[in-house]
Amino acid sequence: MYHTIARTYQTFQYLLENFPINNNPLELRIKPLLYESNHVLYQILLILHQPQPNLHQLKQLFSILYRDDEALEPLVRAWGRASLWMEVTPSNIVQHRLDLYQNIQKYLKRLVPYIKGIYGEEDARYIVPPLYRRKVGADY
Amino acid sequence: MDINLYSQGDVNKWVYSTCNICSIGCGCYIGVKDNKIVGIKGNEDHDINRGRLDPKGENQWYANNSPDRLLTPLIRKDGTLQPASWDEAMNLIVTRTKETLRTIGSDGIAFYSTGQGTLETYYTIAKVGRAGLRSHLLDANTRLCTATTEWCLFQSFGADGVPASFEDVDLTDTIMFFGHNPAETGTVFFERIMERKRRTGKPYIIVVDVRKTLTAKEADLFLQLKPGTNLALLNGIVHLLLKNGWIDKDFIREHTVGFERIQWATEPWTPSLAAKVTGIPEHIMEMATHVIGTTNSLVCTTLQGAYQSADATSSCVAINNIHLIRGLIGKPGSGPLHMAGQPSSSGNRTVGGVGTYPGNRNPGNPKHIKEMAELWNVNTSDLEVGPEKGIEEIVHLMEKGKVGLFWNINTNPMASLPNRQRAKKAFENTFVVVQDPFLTETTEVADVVLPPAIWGEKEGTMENADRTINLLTKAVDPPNGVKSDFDILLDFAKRMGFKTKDGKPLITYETPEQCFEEWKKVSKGRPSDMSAATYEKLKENNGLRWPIDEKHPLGTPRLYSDFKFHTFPDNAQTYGKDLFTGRPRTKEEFESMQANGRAILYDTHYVPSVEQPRQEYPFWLTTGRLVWHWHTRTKTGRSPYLQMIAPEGYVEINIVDAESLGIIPGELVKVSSPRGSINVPARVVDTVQPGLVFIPFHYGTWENNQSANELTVDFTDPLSKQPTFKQCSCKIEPVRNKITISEKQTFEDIAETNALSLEELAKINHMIPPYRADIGDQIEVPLSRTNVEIPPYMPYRNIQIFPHFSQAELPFKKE
Ligand code: SF4
Repeated sequence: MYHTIARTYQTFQYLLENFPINNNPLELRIKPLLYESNHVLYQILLILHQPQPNLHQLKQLFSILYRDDEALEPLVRAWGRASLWMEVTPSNIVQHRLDLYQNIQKYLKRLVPYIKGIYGEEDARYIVPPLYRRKVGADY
Repeated sequence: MDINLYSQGDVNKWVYSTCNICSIGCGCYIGVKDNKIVGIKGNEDHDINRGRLDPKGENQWYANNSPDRLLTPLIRKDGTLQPASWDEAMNLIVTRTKETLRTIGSDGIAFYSTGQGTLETYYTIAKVGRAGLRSHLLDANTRLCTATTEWCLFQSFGADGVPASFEDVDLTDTIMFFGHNPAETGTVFFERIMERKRRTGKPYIIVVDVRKTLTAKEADLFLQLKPGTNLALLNGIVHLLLKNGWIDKDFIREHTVGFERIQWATEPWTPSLAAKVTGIPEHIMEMATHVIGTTNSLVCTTLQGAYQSADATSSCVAINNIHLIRGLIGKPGSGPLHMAGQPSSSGNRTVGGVGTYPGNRNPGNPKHIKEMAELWNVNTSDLEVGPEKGIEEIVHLMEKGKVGLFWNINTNPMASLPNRQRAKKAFENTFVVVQDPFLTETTEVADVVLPPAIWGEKEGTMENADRTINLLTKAVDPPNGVKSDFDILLDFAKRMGFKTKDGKPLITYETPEQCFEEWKKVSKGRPSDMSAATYEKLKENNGLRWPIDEKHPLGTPRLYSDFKFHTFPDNAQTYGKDLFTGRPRTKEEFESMQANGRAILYDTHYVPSVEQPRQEYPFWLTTGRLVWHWHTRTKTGRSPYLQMIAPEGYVEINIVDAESLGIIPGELVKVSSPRGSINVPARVVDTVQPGLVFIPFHYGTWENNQSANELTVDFTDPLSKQPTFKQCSCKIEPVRNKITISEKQTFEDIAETNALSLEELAKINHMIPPYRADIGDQIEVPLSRTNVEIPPYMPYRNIQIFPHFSQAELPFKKE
């Protein structure tokens, strides 16, 4: 879990170091989400370093992290389309950012079993939005 | 009364109903002769329309009798749709559903329904989709229409439900139509307002729009702003309200939280900044603010000009802010009246077919999920948690192969979705069920088509734009082989074997009325309580506005008259989202706002449109509707009268731009955006401002290449996820033939052969008199030219006739 969070944190660090890219108005909305995610991940890492992590605080932070990503996801995809249509950024750079962003999504999905492990299946539903914890097989 | 009736002789009966076209909810009677609908007349006792109907309302019944109605399900076999039995079609859907549940999971099934259905159908979609399939992907074309209404109400007041009603419109001193053109989109409502205006001089009318609409022509004050600058204008207005002290400090203190946020956010929005961004002169903005700041009563309406624009939810929240800081809400003649587009889009939200759980229940609140589980007698864990996904997000999942079954009910997304070529690819990548009475652009990508009953052939209730629940009764039986949406869903539930946790059938009701009785129990105690309503009572009273409960047995004309808002954490319909980023708030964050029954004021921050005109695409493109058609014309296009009046698409371009491009009225032009291009005739007008073009979105089959949505962007508002149809960039080029002047053909000959005047031909070729063309010169002529005149619609029949959309005269002037 720590490793995945650290990787996610690194990716956000990279995204922020290379931001903004083309000053599309969408970047105005993306920016606070990137900063908040970065900050939240840092806090999570700090908490995980503690011998007795504060699970309540951790829950809040995970909740915010996933909600940030829920908001980011359509904005980032829209930014990708807008950047190509406006022809303001080379397509390879746009694609690179979109790929990095997809990695973040993968990490967040990877974290779900840990979160379920800590908080239980039912509580985890209120922390992690549905599409990150897709489950197959309603029993019909 | 519909003139068609005169040709039909006496009708056998008049059947009570409600117009099924737009969100005004006009009461009507359906004329029936020999079990066939032969006409319609307005219900004179109905408060909403007092007997009036508009052309769309009057002509809606033609679709019922249209010879091209589908009378049997269709299944795609070997690439083509072929007739099938109901058993075959439904079994295929069930097999595909089970397979999707097994391989992708519950969120592999998406419902995309409508704003034209009944509450009973929507409620059944909610129950089947949420409790039966346990899916999270329930959306509707209401996403394109009124999702922003819902989100601005959540944000400010904690729950859905427009505070004001049409009754307030009759009482108010001032009305502001913000991005709302009721003269064409809610004509009867507009007539009602204008009738009072003519009688009493009230209300004072302010119109905010990028186009000089028919509504704008009636305004006392018209603010024609630049595209995508709604929020800049509203911030400017709030700045002036605060500066002049035109606020109700007691109301703010007692009934709101967050006032300080408004102050700092609007501080920089001086009249000069707002004027620079919006293009509205400072003195006009000051006049508007003076009226808004000093009026004793105010109703602000919004529609697609606000919802489908940049900063959609923020702009509507800014309007709520204005009402709150002026204390003009919950009082006779005052309150925001965020409109709906379709006849029952609000109803879909209310009963949970789209958006949150039924009865304004919060999908992020464990208590509400538990309540729903108890009401439906299912396990709490069966009901999915968290905010819904919008259609753009669902399209993305379809592109990725993550949706195994997409069930499309009474809507035509292949014509109505923005950037439709992208949507088309996603639909082609998915198993698609389409429920529609006709073949449409969307059935082209369907795997199964189910033919449903239309208005007049089924019963149920609808919710209009001001919370009125109206009844529709069945006038005739549907044609053989056709079933109602409601019955199709019940059949599906039965075949799927959906059960409660006790092993009993999940759905036990069999008729819409029984369903309504169940819904009443679900609604009890919630903001949209309808526990004291019955079908009979709704009919007797010609509709009632929710809540309709013990305390308000005859409904509630306006909400929040006690100034108590739904912002206690356990009452709120959601915990809301950050207004700037759209990030959902956690319960703790919502609690920390400490609204607890008070309305919430927000700082609103202007963000320019995502795509803007530039060298290659120098024009703004905006899309919209005509008075003559509804949406993708599935119904109105089948009325010979409406179709004859407005048969095809066009682009409206300002005289100045037409002049500089050498475009003459009616000539074919190619409009292109980074997404695609269409060919339509040009209508040269002064109703759009220079630099802006307008295309009605009603048109465009796959073949005729007139669909505005070949061009539009699929960016969405961060909160409501409503697409920003109103702003994107485009370019315009005339489509022309080149003719070389020969010995035998003069300039004059070419003009005559192509039915052009000399002046027109000269304009096209950027020539000035004397129009001299020599042998060998190339002369351009339009590839085609169409008469794009549309006869005027007369909103004040018998009273006044306004020419509308008249072609601008373009005399050639020597500089
Ligand atoms: S205003 Fe709307 S509800 Fe009334 S008749 Fe016209 S389309 Fe129907």
